[in-house]
Amino acid sequence: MSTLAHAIVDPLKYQSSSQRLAEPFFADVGKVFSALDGLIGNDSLYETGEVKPSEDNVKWAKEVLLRVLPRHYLRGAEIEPYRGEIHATWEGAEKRVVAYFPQPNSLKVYYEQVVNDEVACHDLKNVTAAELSGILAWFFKK
Amino acid sequence: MAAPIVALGNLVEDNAYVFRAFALDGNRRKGKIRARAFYRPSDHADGLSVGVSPEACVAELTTNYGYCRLQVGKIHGLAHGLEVRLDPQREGHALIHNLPCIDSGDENERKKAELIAGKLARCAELVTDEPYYPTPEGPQPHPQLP
Repeated sequence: MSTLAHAIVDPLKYQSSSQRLAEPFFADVGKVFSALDGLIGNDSLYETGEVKPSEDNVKWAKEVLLRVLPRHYLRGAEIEPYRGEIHATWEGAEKRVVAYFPQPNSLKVYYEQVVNDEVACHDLKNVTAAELSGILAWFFKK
Repeated sequence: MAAPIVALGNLVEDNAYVFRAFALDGNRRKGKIRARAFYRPSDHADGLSVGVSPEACVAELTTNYGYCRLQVGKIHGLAHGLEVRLDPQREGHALIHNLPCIDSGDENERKKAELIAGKLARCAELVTDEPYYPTPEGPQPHPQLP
C-alpha cells in the first residue's frame, strides 16, 4: 500500500478514536463549549438589567476557542458574560489570562504574572486565535 | 441606561473598612476573590459601589453571594489615583472613584482596569462566600476576621 493510500481511510470504517483524532477532546474542554451554549439562557450569570451577549458573539467565541491548540489549553477556562461581552479567564497561582470577546471579530487578551504580591508583567493585546494559543502556552508553562 | 451622576462626598479615612458585595456567583471561587468582583462597567458613571457596612453593601441587591472587605488605606495606597468617597445621597453607600472601566473601547483604560481589579482582589479579605441578607430586626452576625 502506498503512503498516500495508507493515509486516506474511510471515516465510516474507522474504529480507533485515538487514531481518528491526533489529540483527544477532553471532557472538560467540552464544558467550555457547553458553557458558551448556555451563556444566553442562564439568567443567574447576569445582574439585573444587564445586556446579554448576542448569538453572533457566542458563535465568534466558539470559532476562536475551537482554534486554540493544543485543546487541553482550554481546561479550567471560566466562561462568563459581561455587559454583552464574553470573557474566558484562566487563573493560576501566579498567572492570569483573560480573553475578551467584545463583539464578533474582536479578540483582546490581558495577561499578567504576580510574583511576591507584585505585578511582574502585564499587557493587553489584540490577538488572533493562534496568538491566544501562544499566550496560553506561557500560562501553562511551569 | 447610564446611572445618574452622583455628587461625591467626603473622602473616607484610611483606617476605615469598606465592604463589597458579590453580586454574581463568579465573583469568588473556592475561597478566593476574583478580579471580576472589582470590574467597573462604563454605565456606572461615578465609580464602583461599596458600603460602609456589610448591610449597606448588599442593600441594593436582590441576590448576593457574600461579601469582602477592604481597608481604605490600601485602596488609596494603590497609587492609581483611587479615592473612596461617601455618596451624600445614599446613607452607607460609598464609591471607589477614578477606577477605569473594564468595558472601555480604549485599550489602555481596559488594561489599567484589569490591572487594578487584580490588585483590589488581592488586597480584599473574604468575609463570607455565603449569601448575606440582613433581617429587618437587625444585621445577622457575620464571620469575624482575624
